[in-house]
Amino acid sequence: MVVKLLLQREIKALIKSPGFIISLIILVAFYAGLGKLIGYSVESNISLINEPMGVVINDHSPVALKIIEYLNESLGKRLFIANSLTQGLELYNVVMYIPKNFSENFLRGVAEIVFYQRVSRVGGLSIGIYGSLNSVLEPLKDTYYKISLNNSLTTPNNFTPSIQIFYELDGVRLNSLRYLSVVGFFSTSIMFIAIIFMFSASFSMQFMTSEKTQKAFEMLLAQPIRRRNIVLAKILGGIIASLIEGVVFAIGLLLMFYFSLPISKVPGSLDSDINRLIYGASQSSNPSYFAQYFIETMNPAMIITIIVLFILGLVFTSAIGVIVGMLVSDEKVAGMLIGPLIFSFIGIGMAVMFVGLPIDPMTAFVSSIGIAPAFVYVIIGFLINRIDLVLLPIASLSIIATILILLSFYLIERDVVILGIRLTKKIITRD
Amino acid sequence: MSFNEYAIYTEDLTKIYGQDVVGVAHLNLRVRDGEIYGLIGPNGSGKTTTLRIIAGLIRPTYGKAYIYGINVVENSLKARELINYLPEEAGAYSDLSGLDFIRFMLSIRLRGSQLERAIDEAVEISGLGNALKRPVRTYSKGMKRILALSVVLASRPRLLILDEPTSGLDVERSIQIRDLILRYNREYKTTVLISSHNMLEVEYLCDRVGILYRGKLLIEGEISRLKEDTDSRNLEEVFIKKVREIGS
Repeated sequence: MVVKLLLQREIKALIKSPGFIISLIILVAFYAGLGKLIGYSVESNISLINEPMGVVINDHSPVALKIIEYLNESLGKRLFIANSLTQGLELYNVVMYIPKNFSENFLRGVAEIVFYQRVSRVGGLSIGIYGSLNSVLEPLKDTYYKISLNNSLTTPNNFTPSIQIFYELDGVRLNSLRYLSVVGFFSTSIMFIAIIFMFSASFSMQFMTSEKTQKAFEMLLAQPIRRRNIVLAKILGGIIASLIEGVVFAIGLLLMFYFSLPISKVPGSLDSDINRLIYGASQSSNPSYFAQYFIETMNPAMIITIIVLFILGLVFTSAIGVIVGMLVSDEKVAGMLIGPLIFSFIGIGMAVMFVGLPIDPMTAFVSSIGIAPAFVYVIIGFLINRIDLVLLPIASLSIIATILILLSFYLIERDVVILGIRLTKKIITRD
Repeated sequence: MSFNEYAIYTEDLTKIYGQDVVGVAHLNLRVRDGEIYGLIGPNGSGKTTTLRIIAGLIRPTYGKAYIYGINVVENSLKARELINYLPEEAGAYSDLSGLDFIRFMLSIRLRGSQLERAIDEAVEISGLGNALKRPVRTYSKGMKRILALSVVLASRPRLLILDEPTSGLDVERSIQIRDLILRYNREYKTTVLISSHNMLEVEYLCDRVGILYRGKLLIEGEISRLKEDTDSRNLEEVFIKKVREIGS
């Protein structure tokens, strides 16, 4: 009976809390919107898998043409001849390139097909496309079987086909490993980065609200100090606390991977059955595999830029935390608002993973406000030598971080920092 | 006297919260240098609002407030150099020891030998002894209040603003706080603006008082004079009679 009474009290307090209601609305609206966005992306990627594919033929021997004919049948008759690679990529998202000595090698049991995929959006789902292009290998084996029967070849089981994929981003062709290592690494690490930003916002908000709860804030504000120093201390405190927590979190994650994947401790075991079981048939989806290529792709300028972005992101989120901490009256309301804030950062990270980002300066500038996209743009900018894609996210985050700091400087001088925002009507007391 | 000769001088000071909730209205307060001035009135009369504006924590909707001739809004930092403020229910950082809290708060204002002098002074007047080594989270309400008061007193401001300094405290602790306020006023000529709804306390401490009611200053003056003028035995009677006057 008493428990029921106490529970009713808790529920009533929760329902009456404006922070809780706002957090519910934000969560539903944000994630519904995100789902819709992901839906569009999945749809467009699925259509990419089954859409017409260009084929550029440089080997016009009868055997080569027969191979392409068989392959076309196996792929559901979606191959269309293009005169050149450039023309093919103008017409189709994916182009299959048949080299000059293709049929000769094919008959010797060696076949290498090169795919070129035009990338208009940089995102995690292109890895799925990578997998789908790999699936051409099976039809290729069937084709070899048919061709070997027609040409009375004696060793049909020795066929070793392989495919190579190049991604074309804004006219620049990148080796699949180079591209996917970057996208893959970021797809797996962007959530981790988002969580560190979440820590930063959470800590600085807590620092600000705890001043109010401990009732030392008014005394502090009445001291002859520039109040902006209080704000800066809270922002920097949030950053330092989140970095400490982030490092410990990273160690925890590494330990988790270390203990959960015993086979990976053995050198050269990435292709093992266990890894295949965990990460799927393709080793390319293994995070450590991506990380390895990603690290090879990094250069000092890229590393410095990423560190700058990371610091800007921390300033940004920490300033948001301080601002929310200033606006709310106590830790309880702040605690309710931190939920949607946390999920928003993680949600933006998820959006980047699933939806992908168009290679476009304006989108780079605007979407970098979500922090996670800024990292993707900067890395892609370095990969395809687009300096605008490197500088615009930095400019965007610098501007928004500066605006937030100035806003926090403004707010610390206003009544709201003492009185808090009152969302319910007529609760302001006069004394 | 001109406005810059007063410790506190307000001119038509008005604070309106939101659209229509009046915090304080058209307040013309004059506090002389070296006096203890009591602002009394029931809960919701506008005492805290007035004190917060003078301490530079919130801004008036209109009107002006000066501390020794310095505008508290336009020159807030300079004004805050002359004051210290003890808010109602002032607390301290729970993770710090009492001594660390004293050092932290005083080091914001003072340096070197002045700081060490002030710390020793705060330790002495708090009377908390060995308890100062314990974390503040283990302190009672009275201990926290005396700790915060010691800090503001030891900084020796020209003007001390105290919001309900003894509210909710036991008799013994209340007497200790009142004696400290009187001591600093006499020894260091500290001007004190104190708010309280405890009219007997104000009568004991203050040279002059102002009675606030619904954001307006009903009456102000020396306590003996107010009692004489209204034919009252104490401030409570003065207050009741003035409120009835308005009602009629």
